[in-house]
Amino acid sequence: MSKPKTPDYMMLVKWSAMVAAVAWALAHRLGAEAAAIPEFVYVNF
Amino acid sequence: MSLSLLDLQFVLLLLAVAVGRRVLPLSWHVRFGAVASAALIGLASPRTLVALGGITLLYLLPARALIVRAKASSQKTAKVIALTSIFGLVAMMVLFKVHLFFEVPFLHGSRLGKEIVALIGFSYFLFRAINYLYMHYLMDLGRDDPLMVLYYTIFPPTLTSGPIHKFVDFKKQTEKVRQLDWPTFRDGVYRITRGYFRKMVIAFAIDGLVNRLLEANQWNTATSALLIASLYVFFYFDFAGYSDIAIGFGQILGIKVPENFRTPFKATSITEFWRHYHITLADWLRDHVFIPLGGMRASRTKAGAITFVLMVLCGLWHGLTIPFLLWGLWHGTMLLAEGIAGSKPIPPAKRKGPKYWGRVAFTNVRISIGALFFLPSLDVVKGVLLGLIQPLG
Repeated sequence: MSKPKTPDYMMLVKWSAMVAAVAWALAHRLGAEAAAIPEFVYVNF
Repeated sequence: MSLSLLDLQFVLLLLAVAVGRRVLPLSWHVRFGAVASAALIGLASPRTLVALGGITLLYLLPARALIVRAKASSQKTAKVIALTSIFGLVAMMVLFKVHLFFEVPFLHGSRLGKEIVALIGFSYFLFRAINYLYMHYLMDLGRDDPLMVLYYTIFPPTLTSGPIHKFVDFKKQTEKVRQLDWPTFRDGVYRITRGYFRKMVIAFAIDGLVNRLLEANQWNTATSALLIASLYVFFYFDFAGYSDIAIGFGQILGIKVPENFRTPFKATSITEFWRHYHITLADWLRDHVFIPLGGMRASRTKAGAITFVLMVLCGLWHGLTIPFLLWGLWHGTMLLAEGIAGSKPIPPAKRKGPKYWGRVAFTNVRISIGALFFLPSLDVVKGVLLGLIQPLG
């Protein structure tokens, strides 16, 4: 039996929450620093 | 502008390409995709475009023509040509890695240094290039449109960090192009958002924690365990997030990008873990190295030995440093042991109970310890490992 599809409104809720979190991260300049990382293996802690 | 899916300019231009593709006739899909991708890369780094475009058009296409022509008369000659041209690509990768390792620290900040950093996804380009030649050697794929081949090798969403496409899949998709519909667009945007969330919110929060622990440099059972777990989770969310973004952008550009991660945390052995983590690289290594070296028909010990060497090389591929070599040895040894023992994954029906979760935990602990070797200094690795046996307080 195939897996039931997530209802559209649930997808919208999850999507909105993620957009809000990413916007928050960008506003706190987290994203600006993350954007400086070109590839995961070259991350310099 | 960089070629990263975290660069806003690059992302906006990629969206413009998606819009362009949507409004143009379907018959233009490949030509437009290839030219727009080349323009995008050229804008970010002209040197990268010259290098990647040059290798595709002046090396891959003639090599493919020679392989196909030789196949018609002598399989042996075709094999020699295919092997020689693939070794040429491998030599480029080795040279690039050595160059990157020795030159970048001294060129940091210079124009040349930045250009080299812009070529950071070079090895992913070469993985696709090798797949292209190898598939033409193995199969009869017919004629290729040069622009389609270029589109395959420089497809922007997967250019710098994968997932690694198989040429045959990519070609099939460009032959049966479909117009972007609402469900595909919606799912693509959802996937992109999830990717940014994983990378920019979760991974970056964990990165902050890792930084604080490393700055404090006080290692005991709790801090060492926390750092080891954090590193493992960080790498997963960082890389799986980036793969999500690439898959989502692929969707809205009309190309299905292969999955790169499938719940690796539920793996019950290291062998199973590598079938669920960075899947496209593991598949690539299996198809292009393990199988041609006879790994499928070999004894358990020989197959384990091939895997061991592959993992060591994979470690060095991350960077020519002692910690990466140790990472390769760590994973290689565990895979060799599992190969010799003939370890089998637990069947789905039996995936419950303490025995199952015990194996899951044991696998995750070993993978986490391996993640430590991604730290830049071996002294820190030593300090963290010794900290594990230092009681609290």
